[in-house]
Amino acid sequence: MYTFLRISATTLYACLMMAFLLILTACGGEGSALTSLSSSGGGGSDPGPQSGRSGSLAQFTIKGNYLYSVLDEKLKTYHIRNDLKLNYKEEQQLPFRVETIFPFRDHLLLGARSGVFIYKTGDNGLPMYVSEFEHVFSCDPVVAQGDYAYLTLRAANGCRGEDRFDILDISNIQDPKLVLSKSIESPFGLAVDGNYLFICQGTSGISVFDISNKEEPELIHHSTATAAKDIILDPAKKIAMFMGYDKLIQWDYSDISSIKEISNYDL
Amino acid sequence: MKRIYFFFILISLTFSSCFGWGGSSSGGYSWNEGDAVKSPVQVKDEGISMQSPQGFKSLGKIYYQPPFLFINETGRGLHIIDNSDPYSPEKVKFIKIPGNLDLAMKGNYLYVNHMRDMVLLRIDKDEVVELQRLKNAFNDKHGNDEYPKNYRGYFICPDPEEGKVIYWEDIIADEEPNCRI
Repeated sequence: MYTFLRISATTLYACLMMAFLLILTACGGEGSALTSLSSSGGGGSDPGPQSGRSGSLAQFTIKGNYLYSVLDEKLKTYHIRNDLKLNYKEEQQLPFRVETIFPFRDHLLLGARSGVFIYKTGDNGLPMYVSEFEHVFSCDPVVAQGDYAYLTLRAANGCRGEDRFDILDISNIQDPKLVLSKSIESPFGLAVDGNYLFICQGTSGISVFDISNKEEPELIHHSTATAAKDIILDPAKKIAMFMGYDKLIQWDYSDISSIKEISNYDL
Repeated sequence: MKRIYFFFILISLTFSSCFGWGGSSSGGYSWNEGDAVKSPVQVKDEGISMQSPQGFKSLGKIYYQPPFLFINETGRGLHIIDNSDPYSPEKVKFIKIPGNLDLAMKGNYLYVNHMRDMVLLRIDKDEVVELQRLKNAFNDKHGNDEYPKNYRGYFICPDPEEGKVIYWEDIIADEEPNCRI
């Protein structure tokens, strides 16, 4: 199985490399290290060059042609012009200490010390407060998928409170409802793909939960082999990329019952 | 001057515990080998530049712009990792950005904070080109502090020669730090 995965992945990359080579040939580009960063493409609701994917601890996010920042604990909005330069629009004072921002449909989810705050972004891109879910004072990134939001709460490092993760029903975004609260050791960043929730736990490792039943998540994989602070998933390739304290760790989770570490890169 | 200031705080704390104002939480800590303490990340603003790959010290944020991963080195810049083959990722460049805490991208355009400024950069082949700078877009999040905010305990004393404190990280100290608050 392992060999098979490796071969298919290798084949895939060979195809991708050929595609890149074709593009390079067409453009007459030179083969420098970073040439394959696309400068065009896009489409859909996000015209212009494609934005990338943030980890859950992000304090900048791009949604459509707007860039939002909570870097200095204010919610700042910038319009991204066609030439990719920014027009500063506005800033909103937040009555709480915001640590993370996550774009979700036409909303922004802000992870704050005191809870999750939901803002709607209208056609003019400016965020408007919709609702909030308050919890004990903790450090907490938040992500969302479908009708649910997932957040971790961590007590360490000056964040009081408790170590746990919460699942919120946000099918009515005006009124988020707590579905479940589960204790977990020192949770940091998190990510979700379909029925699987990945939680980084600092030096306590990484856990994967099957969340098909939101009221009873089942721990299906736990690794203490590597410390992890944040994660980005590539759902198309089923690759999980973890940022540790000094490492980049990657898993192939295409077979969720037998997750494979495919690289452990000392940075 | 700063040392005197810390000394003053230390003296005040000592006296406050003597007089029983602070209770057990204020004066009762002691340093043990292996304890995590706050350590200042200090940067001199030497400008933005593309450099060869660098070692990691304190990883902050991660960003995926396939096939590249951008990993923020808190307050120092961005590591660029070619992840075309996830079995064998490879550091290709380091963009030095003093004070950098976060990033977002569109194609090969990069939005970052450089100290307190919001800056738009374009990655052109192996160079980085500055296209726009919004001065003082951000408040000092972590301040140019002489001591860590919202913290009590030991910390590594900032060295005024090493530039501005842009961040306080947690480290395991090998010996008792000289400052505490």
